[in-house]
Amino acid sequence: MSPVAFVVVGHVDHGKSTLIGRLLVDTESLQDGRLEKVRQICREQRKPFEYAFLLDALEAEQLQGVTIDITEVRFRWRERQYLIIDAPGHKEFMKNMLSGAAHADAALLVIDAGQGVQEQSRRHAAALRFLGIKEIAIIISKMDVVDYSEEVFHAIRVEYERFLASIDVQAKGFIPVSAADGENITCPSSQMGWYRGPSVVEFLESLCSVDGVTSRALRLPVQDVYKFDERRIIVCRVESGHVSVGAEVQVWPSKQRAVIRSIEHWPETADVATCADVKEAVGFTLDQQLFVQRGDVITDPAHAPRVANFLAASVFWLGRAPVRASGRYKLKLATLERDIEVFSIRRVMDSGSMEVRTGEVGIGQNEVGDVVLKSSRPFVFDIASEIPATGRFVLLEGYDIVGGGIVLEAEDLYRRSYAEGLPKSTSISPVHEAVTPADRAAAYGHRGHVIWLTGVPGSGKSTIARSLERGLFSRDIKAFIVDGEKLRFGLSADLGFTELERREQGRRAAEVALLFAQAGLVAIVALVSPFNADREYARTLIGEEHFTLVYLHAPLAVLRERDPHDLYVRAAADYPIPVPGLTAIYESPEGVCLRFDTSVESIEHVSHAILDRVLAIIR
Amino acid sequence: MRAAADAHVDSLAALEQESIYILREAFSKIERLAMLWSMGKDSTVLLWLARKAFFGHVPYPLIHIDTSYKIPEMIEYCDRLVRELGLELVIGQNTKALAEGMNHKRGRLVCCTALKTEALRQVIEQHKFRAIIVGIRRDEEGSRAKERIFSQRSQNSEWDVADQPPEFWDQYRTDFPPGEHVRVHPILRWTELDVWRYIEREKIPVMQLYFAENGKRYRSLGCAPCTSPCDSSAESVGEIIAELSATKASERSGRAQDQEHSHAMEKLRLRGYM
Repeated sequence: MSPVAFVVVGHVDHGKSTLIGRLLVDTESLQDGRLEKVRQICREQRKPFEYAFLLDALEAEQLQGVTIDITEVRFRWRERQYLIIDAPGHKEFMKNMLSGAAHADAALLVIDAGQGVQEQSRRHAAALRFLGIKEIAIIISKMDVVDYSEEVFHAIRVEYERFLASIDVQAKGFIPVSAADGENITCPSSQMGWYRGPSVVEFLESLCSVDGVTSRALRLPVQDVYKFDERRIIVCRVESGHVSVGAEVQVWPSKQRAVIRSIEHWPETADVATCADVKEAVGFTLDQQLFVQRGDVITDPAHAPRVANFLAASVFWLGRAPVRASGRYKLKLATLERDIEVFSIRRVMDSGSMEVRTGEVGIGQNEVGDVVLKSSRPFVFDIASEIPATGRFVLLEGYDIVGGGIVLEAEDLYRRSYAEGLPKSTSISPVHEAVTPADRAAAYGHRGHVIWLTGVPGSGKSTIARSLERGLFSRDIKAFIVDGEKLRFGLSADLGFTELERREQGRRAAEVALLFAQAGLVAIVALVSPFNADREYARTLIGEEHFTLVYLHAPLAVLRERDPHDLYVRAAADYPIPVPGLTAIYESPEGVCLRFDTSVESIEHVSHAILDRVLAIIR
Repeated sequence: MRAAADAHVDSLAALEQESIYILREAFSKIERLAMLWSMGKDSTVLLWLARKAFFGHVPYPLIHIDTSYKIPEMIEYCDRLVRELGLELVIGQNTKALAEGMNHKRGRLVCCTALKTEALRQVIEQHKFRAIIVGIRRDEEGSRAKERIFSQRSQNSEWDVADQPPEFWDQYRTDFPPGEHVRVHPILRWTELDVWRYIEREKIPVMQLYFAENGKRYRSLGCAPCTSPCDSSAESVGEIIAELSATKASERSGRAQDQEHSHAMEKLRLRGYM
């Protein structure tokens, strides 16, 4: 087990370093020379003994009496190792505080009993929440200064608890201490009989080491590809899941698949003991020579990552210059790097004053804001709440990290590729509905779905669609046909029959079908949809699990005979509308769920086969 | 609750994997890379980790800063390893200062700055290195505890400790302006005890100077005039681990330059000392 890492945060001068110094002394964790060295420095500076100097090693820190940068020290208490991260409390050093706190399992947030809740007390709590640290104890320090008053302690506790509730943080406890007198550090206080909770060390003992890898989904961000010898070794860190020889994997964004042929080690005889809670830096070879590069993500095929040109995120801003809409930065997410543009800024919170502003154009230093970022090359990522390591990123301006971000859920954004152009409105942001898909499914008795019927004119799409609609309706399932022709009277009245216009027709049909499916209905799309790219667009937009692609076909002789719109007759007479499959392209569909030759199989048989499959999915 | 022995195994595995990740990150992102190699236990572990990270290869040169005052056994060990492993070695030496008779009697900080800091600066300039991998650890000394994993240095190798860039979520500063270089610290989070436990686990050969002879052994290695052995009876890696688990004496207590001034190491390091 790795040491339990905890960060000590709070407003400047509230006694963080003194608390840690006292912890080190009382747990007898100091090296021999250390205490003597600090005594010598204090003598040189003609000051009384300062516990804080044990941590604040830099000369400038000692002269000014403030912590500038983070320090890490260890101590052992009752057979357990602890790693203390001392973070600066001064506003100017927020970036250092974040650097320290980012790899902590827990936090002690220190508030001076005499001064009460201050700006950084609030800001730091907001930062801990942003970093996802949940094990937080509030230390009310310098209780000796207020004569160990229970009233003072309670007043601060009530005020601060109210604040924490407003940012959705729950503290694990409030501990009154005096580091100077050593009260409630390692053992219960003799001065504060009214307090019955744990001492600082007892609180730390109650923590479990929080370990990273929790999800079953495999996530291997590609770090590099080595060719030192005849082997072509792909190196990645296992951010989530498990790698094994013989497993099939998929590379993103290319979607190519391969099988892991070998896992490489040096020395070759190495006894490889993989620990469940260690993120392993692995090297492996694949059974096929795929083009793989740094920034790609390798996953198991069952758990696809999100791939999109947009990211909706909550951003913690450290830069001196504020973030502006249409500002350009570099984004680093695991090993992926992208040049990005800020597409929109929705909501900004000043974590110090807790003031929330909407419709803002900028996010200032130390503020948190919700943004949408865009890139011309797609991002490969996850939602931070599902897989943290591939759901968070940093932003760079020039050479400097100026912000951190966590990816939010925003399916409306992630499922569209926007190949034909971006939304023209930059004030849009992901909407969260009051009635969820699960609510609808419970009320209707089934989930929403899209049945997509593709095929050349005359292949039987409209006929099958009507039969399906009737069949679903008679089973109490809400269904509706999205017919290509019907769209052309209204929504697509502006479209003709060029290749570009057919593609746009496909996109609109997909968007309409998605809305029906989101409303909880089964949408039946009857559309020639001649291009694979458009059918794929619909599949990605609507989601694999809600999408059934059906390919209907028949021999040309049968099509000519049916000829519902006299297209084949007119085509023969050089009529200017191209007929897909005859005088225009119809790409034979890929990724089809079901296919039927309607010259052989009856309408009843085809609809039953489709219904069987769909009913099993939606109910 | 797992047994204490298992706990060390897990903790070492986590440190090892993080160090490998950092070494690969530096190699992937930075063109002209080199690794500082002092032949001590930390450099030796670092070299081992590099061979793990690159599957037996060491794809960049090692730098040895030759002060001419190193303990002779260290030089023998260096030559042997370079030969056996086929390493590319770059030697840095401030020949001008040595010709002018620089030694520790002129002041230890002055001597360290001339023969180590300045020699390193010259090597970096001469070979146009953009990143130097260094085996320092946070638990060694106060100013090292403040370090970043990727720590930038100005053109003159200076360290701006009061304004270090943020470093979180394993996103390191791998891009920096021309002229500057970066110090990469892959074992920053290890402790002295971790290093010895890892040497034991991996059976990594280390120099004989670390083991007790006539009741004395070296805990930290450097130049002969400024490094003294400590009292010890530890004759094996296992005994060293047992000794360190019990001691409260500081690792660098045998290094004279640290004792010269209250903030000696900080002063050395601001100017580019490792």
